[in-house]
Amino acid sequence: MKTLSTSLSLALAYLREKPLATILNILLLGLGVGTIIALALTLAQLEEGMDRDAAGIDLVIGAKGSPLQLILSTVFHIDIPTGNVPVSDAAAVIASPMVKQAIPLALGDSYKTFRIVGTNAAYVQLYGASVLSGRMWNAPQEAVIGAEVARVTGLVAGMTFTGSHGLTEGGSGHADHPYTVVGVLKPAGSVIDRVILTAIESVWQVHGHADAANSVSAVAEKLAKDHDHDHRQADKDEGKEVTAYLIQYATPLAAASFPRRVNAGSTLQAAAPALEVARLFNLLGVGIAALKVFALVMMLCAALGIFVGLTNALNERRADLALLRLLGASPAMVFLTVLTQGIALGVAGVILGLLIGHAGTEWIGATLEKTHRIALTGFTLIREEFWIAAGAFGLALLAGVFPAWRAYRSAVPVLLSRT
Amino acid sequence: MVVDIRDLKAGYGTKAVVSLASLQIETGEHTLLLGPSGCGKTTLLNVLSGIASTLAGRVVINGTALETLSVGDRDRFRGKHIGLVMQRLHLISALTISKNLRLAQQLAGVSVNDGIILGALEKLGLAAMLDRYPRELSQGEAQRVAIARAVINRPALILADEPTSALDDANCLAAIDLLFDQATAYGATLIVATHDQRIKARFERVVTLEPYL
Ligand SMILES: Nc1ncnc2c1ncn2[C@@H]1O[C@H](COP(=O)(O)OP(=O)(O)OP(=O)(O)O)[C@@H](O)[C@H]1O
Ligand SMILES: [Mg+2]
Repeated sequence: MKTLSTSLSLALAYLREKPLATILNILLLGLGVGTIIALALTLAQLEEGMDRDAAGIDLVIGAKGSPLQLILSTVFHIDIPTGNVPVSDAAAVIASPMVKQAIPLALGDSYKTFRIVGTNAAYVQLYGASVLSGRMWNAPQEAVIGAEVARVTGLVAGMTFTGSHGLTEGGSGHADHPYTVVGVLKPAGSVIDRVILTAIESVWQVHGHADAANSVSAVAEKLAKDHDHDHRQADKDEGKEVTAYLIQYATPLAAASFPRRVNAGSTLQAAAPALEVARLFNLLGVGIAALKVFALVMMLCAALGIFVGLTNALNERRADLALLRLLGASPAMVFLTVLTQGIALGVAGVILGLLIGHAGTEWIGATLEKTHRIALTGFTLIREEFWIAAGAFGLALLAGVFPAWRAYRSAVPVLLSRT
Repeated sequence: MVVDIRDLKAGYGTKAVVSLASLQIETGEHTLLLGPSGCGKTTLLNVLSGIASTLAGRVVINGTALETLSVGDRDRFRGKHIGLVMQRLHLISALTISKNLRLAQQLAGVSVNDGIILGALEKLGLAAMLDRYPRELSQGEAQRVAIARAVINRPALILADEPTSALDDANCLAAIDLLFDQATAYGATLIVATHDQRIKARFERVVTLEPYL
């Protein structure tokens, strides 16, 4: 025990004697560990968030274009939509017996960067959300807002606001069609926290479709229940458009044929969130791998720096090593003193790395929060971090073992004769 | 008797560089180890302090036969019973003076005692240097610290290897005076190895080492 504390205080004194090298090694290790941890944290939360946001949605049907864009815009509310489709075009498709539920979405307007989503009550149920204060909408121009929207905008039930055209800030206003907030949702930890919900008829009304009262959402709900396709209803839908339908299959077998059939048509596109998310992570994969390699190289450089630093110090401190032995230190204690320097650098680097990783993630999260698209926090722990920390510490330890072994093996007369 | 050597052969690997039929040194004696460069003075001191092992013969220090001790035990024995002063001073530059002296206590396995440290430094006029680093000391001051370190654990034997070769005449005599004073004050036996003829007159006993053939 005494030996340990003597070794430790000596090791720390040695590290303090070369502050530049010490700080550099800690910084390098910290940056490497921090980068990998920030990456892991971001990816884990992104994947978890996307899984949650896409849960229960088997397929999205919308306008033709990039399938990834369709998914991003309608499920995650990130990208701009591929366009709108006439309700009458989609009616036959969603009437298929393979479709258990089709939730209509009409996008196009936003309020303070939060998207106004015209839909029906099924959308709220899809995310298991419930009203915290106020009530659900039951007429056009009534809006229910997500928890994050309420927090950022300060809107509460009873207040009114006007949407602006387009999904980014600064679009022209719709001052003649104000919305009234009638309810605020409980935080659900998913994308529904960050949208403004209203009846789909509101969106049509704002964009000048007459006869909004006879709603496509009513049609869809009815269709979902009994698949009874009414041709007169289709006539009434003339001219109305939706951005997408979020589809839930009646049977898993639908996945094999249903999307292909939709895509074979001339106007509609079907895309599966699970496939597109997987594709997205594949696309990101190259960049992520490059960043990981970069961070690993940094960590290896740090380990190499520790190795070179300790080895150099060993040569410079031959006299000290000899002296330690002359004063009664055992070879094992000399070994410990050198190794402890590697350990101390490793511990400091890993701690710094954890701080950098979490602070970095929090910072990225704060930056992204301004766009209200992705929720990301640094105040969370994941299991990978343990392995990253252990790996970095192991590297530092390994970098210390060889110089320590050399110090252990050095015979005092030899050390003395060369000082 | 502090040192008892019989039929000693010592060297490096299997090659002997010193041989000594017999050498006994009594408690409190001041012995000068003289001889031309390369005759094995340093090697002999290393044998006495248990750093170098013997090829043949017996070395008994303060009643303990060194060959019966393991490497670790010899390290501890050295820390406790032998004070060493090197030609170049070898203070640890990363530690302050007081921490250098504490280290000597820690490594000898005795409990750290700042009173003893301060007392030893006060005797040498170095009390003000406690918190300085070795680089902030003059050559002579650093040498006195090294002497203080050699005596604080009250060793039975003080071994000094060329403690004066880097010093001018005045400092050379001052250093030897100090070693004698301290050895006497702490009741230690003193062996100094050198080829510095200037200090020969001070020692009551001179052992001349012949080159090994
Ligand atoms: N580490 C070593 N390995 C092999 N031989 C050595 C080693 N150190 C010293 N020697 C040899 O042992 C002999 C005695 O060396 P030692 O250092 O004991 O001499 P010395 O009397 O102290 O000389 P000096 O007065 O120059 O210090 C020399 O011939 C030297 O070359
Ligand atoms: Mg010598």
